[in-house]
Order: sequence, then C-alpha cells, then structure tokens
Amino acid sequence: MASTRTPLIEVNFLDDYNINFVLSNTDVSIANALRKAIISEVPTIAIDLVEIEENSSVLADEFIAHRLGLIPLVSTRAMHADGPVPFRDVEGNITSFLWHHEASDDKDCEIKFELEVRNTEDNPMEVRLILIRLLEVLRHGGGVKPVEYDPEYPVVIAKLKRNQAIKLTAIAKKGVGKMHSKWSPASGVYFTYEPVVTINYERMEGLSAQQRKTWVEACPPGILRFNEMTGQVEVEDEINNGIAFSGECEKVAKELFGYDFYDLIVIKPKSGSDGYPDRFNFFVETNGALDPVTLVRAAIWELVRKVQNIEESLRTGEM
Amino acid sequence: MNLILFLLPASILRFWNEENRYPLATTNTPQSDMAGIRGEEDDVNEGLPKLETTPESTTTSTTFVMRNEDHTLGNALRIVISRNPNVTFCGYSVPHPLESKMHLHIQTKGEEEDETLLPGLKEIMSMCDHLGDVFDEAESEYYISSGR
Repeated sequence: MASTRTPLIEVNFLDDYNINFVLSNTDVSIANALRKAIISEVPTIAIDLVEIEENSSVLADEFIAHRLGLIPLVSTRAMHADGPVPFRDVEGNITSFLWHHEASDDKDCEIKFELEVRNTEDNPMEVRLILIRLLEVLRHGGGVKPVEYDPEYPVVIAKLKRNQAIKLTAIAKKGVGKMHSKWSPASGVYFTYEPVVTINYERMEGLSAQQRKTWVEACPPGILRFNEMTGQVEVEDEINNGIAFSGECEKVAKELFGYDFYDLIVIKPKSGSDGYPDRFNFFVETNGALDPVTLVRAAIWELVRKVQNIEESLRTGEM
Repeated sequence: MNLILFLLPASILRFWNEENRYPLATTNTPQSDMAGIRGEEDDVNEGLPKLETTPESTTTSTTFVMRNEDHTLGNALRIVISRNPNVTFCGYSVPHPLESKMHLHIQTKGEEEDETLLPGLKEIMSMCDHLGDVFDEAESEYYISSGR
C-alpha cells in the first residue's frame, strides 16, 4: 500500500455558527466525503408530524406544517451515545435519542410541541417561534427547542388577523439530511482549493503600464495588484480563494487585449507531490441545530461508522 | 451444470452460484442505517445483506454490492484502493440513482480480493480517526491563539 497520508487541520475562524478550517495532506475524495457527511448524514431533530386542531389563518394546514418542519431545533440531544459528543442528562448519564422505528416507548424518540395562538386584537398579529411551547419533556430532558437567533428579528411562522387562530400539536423526531433537508444541520458547506497564480511575464511585455493597470482594476479584487513603482503586475499575498477559480482574470484579459492574451495569467489548484490538490479550505455554516465543532466531529464519526458497518459485514460473511 | 446456470435469470443465479465467496452475509443492513428516500419502516434494503458480491465475481475480479451506500464512501474507497500496488483496476458506480446501492469493482494481479477491500476500509477508518484527533487539537489551538 502506498504511504498512508495523515491529514492535518488548522482552524482559522470559529464562532457560534461558522467554522473555517484548512484540511490538508489528504485526498479530495475524503474532503468531499466529509462535506457530504456534514450535509446529509449527521442526525438532527425536526418536527415531523403535525396534528392540527384549528386553523383559521390564511395559510393552508400543510403549508403551516411544512414551515414547522423547517424550523431548526437545537439537536445536541440527538447525538449518538457512542459518538464523540454523547448527550448527558442532568445526572450525567449518557442516553440516546432513538430512531422512531426502533423505539418501543414514545418518550425515547418523540418530542411534542404545542402551539395555540388566537388573535383577539384588531391589529394583525405575527405568530412567532417563541410561542411554540414544549408540551412533553422527554424522559431524560434534552433542551430541544427552536434555535434562538437575533431577538430583534424573530422568526415568523404565520400572521393572523383579528379572530383568526391556530391550534396544533407537533411531534419532532430524529432524522438525517438524506431523508429530508429539514434535518440537515448545515446551512452552507463548501471547500475551495488553494490557488497558485502564475503570471506570464513574457506576454506582459506586450502591454503598456497603463494597459496593465486597467487589467488589474478590471480583475476581481483580491488576486492581483499593480505596483506603481515598477509598473509591474504582482500577485497579492493573501489570495481570495472564493473568486480565484472563477476564470474572471483570464476572461477579462481576453476581452481587453484580444485572444492572444488568454495565457496572460494561469490560476491552478496547488497540487501535492502526487499531482493532485491536497489542501482544502473548508467553510461550514450551521443553522443553529448543532454548533460547528460538534457538527464536524459528528460528521467524521458518521464516516467511521459507515466504514465499520461494511467491515463488519466483510468479516461475518467470511464465516 | 454451468451451462444451465447461464440460462437462468440473474436473481436465481445469486443463490445457486457456488463460486460466490461472500454468500448472504449474516449481518443485515443495520436498522440505524437510515439512508434511502424515506428511512424508517419503508427502508427497502431492510433485511437484505449490507455487503455482497455479484455472481460473476472471481478471486481476482470482484464486484462488491453495498446497500445503503453512495458516492460518499464509494469515491473515497476507490481512491484509497487504487493506491494498492496489487490492484490493477478499481472503480465504483451507483447503478441507479433511485436505488440505494453501490457497486465497487476491484481487479487484482493475483492476490485474493479480500486483501484489497479490507485494507482499503482500514485505511479510511484510520484516516478518519486521525482526522477526529487532529480536529480536536486544532480547535484547542484556535482557542489558545485567539486568547479565550
């Protein structure tokens, strides 16, 4: 087997909803597997069944039920007991939140919410997330509730006019993004390669200082700069990964100076010793169901679990 | 006997083929393996083996059929197994996007095929374990350097 490469990670930025880290010394297929696991394989909790008792709002029953399903619920409760961040109840015991089809008792796999709103005033009223009441606390608690974003900008489920009302019970269950995107804890995940920018200085000789300056100004910012002193185009020290591979620089060069200048600049992903890119700049943004660190840890663990399942089958099959 | 086997449909062949090195494995697709359009009660792969080989497989040319798997593991396994010097060919496919199945085909120079899949799996596992540790370290590094 070729030498096993050990991956490296450096975290560049971390806050309550975002994490930016660089994954290096590994293959793009692993980076992609991690990305897919973050989006679709990490279990979360979301409303899955809505029993509507009364709805005199302008929105249809299923419309409201759909919106309720999309509400992100704080899902640390759904973390696997064997995983990297198991959930501990008030006594410190590790308990699992079960899949709906494998639990024998409702309390181990369902969380019930209730929403009852009646507009008795003249003014139109907004049905906000805060009004959702946790009806039945799970056997072992869990802190499952709608994610609180900015209190100044509350999330609105519906709006009611005078004498309109909504009364419903909602049941939340465990699920993964693969089943329905409401269970996906990620609101934006992507990784970019690290760019290597090569300027063709021979081609550059064919341009005057003014032309070079025009080109640098027409290019998206963050890749090149024009040095007034030397009259040369230089590569920025901190390249903006997001725009580097868009092809804008090359396109602008062709538009301004003609097709001959298509190779004025070449931007390629930085490759490792085997000729393939091995540095990936990850950006993970969560919707609040899980914090970014727990999310990435859980995603890595889900990949391990997948491999373990197959290994187990391989072993028992040989018996 | 082989001639008669050729005339039978593939589904029956699967059970009759004595060459099959991995007959129906005793572990079925785990219940928590929730893939599929709508997991839960109507997971079509429930009760079926997680890993199988196709009837045409031989010791040096095997197609593994994995249920409830997709490109996530398929691409990663393909890359890792291809690095094995004994492997002459490795490719994966998802036969139909609506069916939760993944085929992984490995051809070797002469070594037994379970010497290629298992090390491949182990390598991905060790990479991911290492990834977890490195991530924890990187997180503490970040907190230290940002002064929390």
